[in-house]
Amino acid sequence: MSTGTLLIWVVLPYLSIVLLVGGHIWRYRTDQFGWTSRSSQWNEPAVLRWASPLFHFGMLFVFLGHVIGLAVPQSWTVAAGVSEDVYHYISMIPGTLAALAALIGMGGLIYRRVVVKSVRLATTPADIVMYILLGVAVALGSWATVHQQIIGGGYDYRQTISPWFRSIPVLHPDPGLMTSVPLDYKMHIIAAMILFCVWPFTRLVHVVSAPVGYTTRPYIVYRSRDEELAAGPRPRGW
Amino acid sequence: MKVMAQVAMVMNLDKCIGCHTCSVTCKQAWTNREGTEYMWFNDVETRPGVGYPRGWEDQDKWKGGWRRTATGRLVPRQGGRLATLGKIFSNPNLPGVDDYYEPWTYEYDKLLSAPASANTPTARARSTLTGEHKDTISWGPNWDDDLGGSMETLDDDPVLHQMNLQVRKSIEDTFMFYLPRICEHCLNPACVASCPSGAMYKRAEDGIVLVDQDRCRGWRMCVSGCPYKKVYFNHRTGKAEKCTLCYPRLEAGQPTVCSETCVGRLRYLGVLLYDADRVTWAASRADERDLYAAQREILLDPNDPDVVARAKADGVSHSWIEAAQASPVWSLISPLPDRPAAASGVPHPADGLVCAPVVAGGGRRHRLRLRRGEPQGAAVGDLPDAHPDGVPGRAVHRRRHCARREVVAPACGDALLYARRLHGGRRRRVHSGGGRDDRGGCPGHVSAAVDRQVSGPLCDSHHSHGDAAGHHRAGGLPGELRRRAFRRGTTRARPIPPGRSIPRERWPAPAPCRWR
Repeated sequence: MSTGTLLIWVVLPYLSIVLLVGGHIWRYRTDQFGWTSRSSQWNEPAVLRWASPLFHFGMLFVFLGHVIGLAVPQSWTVAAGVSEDVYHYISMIPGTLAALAALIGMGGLIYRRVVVKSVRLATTPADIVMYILLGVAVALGSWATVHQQIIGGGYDYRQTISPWFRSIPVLHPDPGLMTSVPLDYKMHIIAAMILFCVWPFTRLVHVVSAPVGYTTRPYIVYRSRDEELAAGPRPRGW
Repeated sequence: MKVMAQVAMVMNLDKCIGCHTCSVTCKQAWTNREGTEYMWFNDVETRPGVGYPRGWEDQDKWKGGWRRTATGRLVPRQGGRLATLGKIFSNPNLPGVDDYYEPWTYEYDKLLSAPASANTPTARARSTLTGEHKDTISWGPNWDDDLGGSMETLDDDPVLHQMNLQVRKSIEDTFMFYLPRICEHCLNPACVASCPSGAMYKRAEDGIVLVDQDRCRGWRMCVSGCPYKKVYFNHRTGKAEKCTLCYPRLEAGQPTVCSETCVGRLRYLGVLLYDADRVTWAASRADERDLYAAQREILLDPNDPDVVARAKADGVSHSWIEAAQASPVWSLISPLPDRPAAASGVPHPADGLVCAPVVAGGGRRHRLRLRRGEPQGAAVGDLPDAHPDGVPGRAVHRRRHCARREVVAPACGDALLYARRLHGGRRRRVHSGGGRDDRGGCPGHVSAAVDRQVSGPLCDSHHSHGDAAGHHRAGGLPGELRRRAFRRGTTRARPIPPGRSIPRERWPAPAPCRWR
């Protein structure tokens, strides 16, 4: 097994996990004030009105598809009575639609970011890096799907990529599984791992603060000043 | 009953001259940073007019405040929890730049840096959002100040629409008044209810509604949730900000910046006690015309021994209870003590007080329109020295009054009458046209607006709400210092029992004024 294979399919995955998790923890503890979605709706609502929901809901479905495709072993779905052909169509059709929504939405968001001057000026270097890495990852993933699943007639990534993916968290990395994977998928996975490396240092942190707690919280929040003061000094911010 | 304290403010709109000093000093103190250029935690609007942001009162459009469901529950008008989360990627009710205005500055440097030339250098307007020149500025804060340009904009005033009145636009026939607006620090704040991340909160000690800048994630729901549009989105930091009621100043015993710098001295700060258990009850009255009375009903009498005992049990400190008892806000919203009626305009035989002319609609609203001898910021004043003869009132009152030859006002409703006597005939009739009579029985716009400015309003589904913006406290002062500050400011004014007042001979003599 070549050094390159080891680096890409063993070292890089763990590096991205460390940076992803550690980066979030580090940033959460040191930069609460910078932890925000940095919405630019205030500057430009018209394009964002359709592009942002399209992109975000599309990405949510894409994420769901990745969870099913990568985390659920093929044996489970087979045991549930879902044949490979059926699975192929179930994943391909909604997956393509979701990818389409995400791509169109992302196109709208990038368009407004470039064309609308006040949004462009509000763009930070971290935003640019994030947009490029995210755009490349999404584009490569979409291309891999189109190329392999639609044009190529189907590639069963659940024989190779999925087991490799699951081998990482169980600390039994099996880079050999990745050698036969088509280049499209390899590129997509590498782009995603690089994205994970920078993820916590960009506005993407807002993903992990999705406000699910809101659904169960009482409407009105009371907080005591004295208790907050007693809790000790607080990090950067107001 | 759960007694909680609320720092509240009453603004006497009769006194407002629309000078915008409050707005400017507030801006200098709080929103002179990048990303906050367009924010006015305090602004003064001319009514009728569209306000800031444009048409903010039109809740059919902005969906601010609360809605009462068929079952009598309250949900934010923009949607319940799941509906709010569903709109998180794009908030359809969020005001944009155009609804506020595109902030700009002038190239003042060019006046100094321009090379010698036959032409006079100019300072062109430049957008602070895009950096581009704005040679034609078409909207700004207070664009329709003093009805300026109102021929173009008056039709957009949602209140006028609601009144369905034929308002004549010729200047000589119209009416106007000024409406200073800050965050209401609502008892039932819709902005807090709308905040998905739970970053907004109402402080348990003083009821101030704040945004925790560390926890805010920029979901923007508070901005649209507030029916007053008094939470703003900082487009630089990506976080919400709002009026803090100058809590760092309050904690240090100073009045808010807007109060302290108010030229008309029309802002009264004080502590109110209210029954937190009944807030939801009061805010969910079926008939919106009952909301006002219901809100007033849950404000508790700080002199009632039961209320005091309950407040102590609920952790309201002694100094805060004293502050509530001496609160100018409480006295302004309380009925005058019973007393024999005297003819309007004639000094009362018992105490020399002069009753104001009867105004239709009377009651509390009527009294709110009277001038009052106590300066704003009375509950948090800064001068501890007592009068040598034990005359109620604090030195700060006496000093200011000596300049204006006003009488020291005890923290008691009768103060209104003293003041009325001294200012007889100067009460301006600001708004004589059909007012916004939505509170029932109020004679006009002014009193309705005064009512509305009684802080800590409940958020009814139509007008209320609070908002707030805020910042997270930076360090802050020890609680004891804050308590001391409040105590210092409030214990000097000894309340006078109902029915009694200060004989004229005991009024403090005008002393040489050290104030200026």
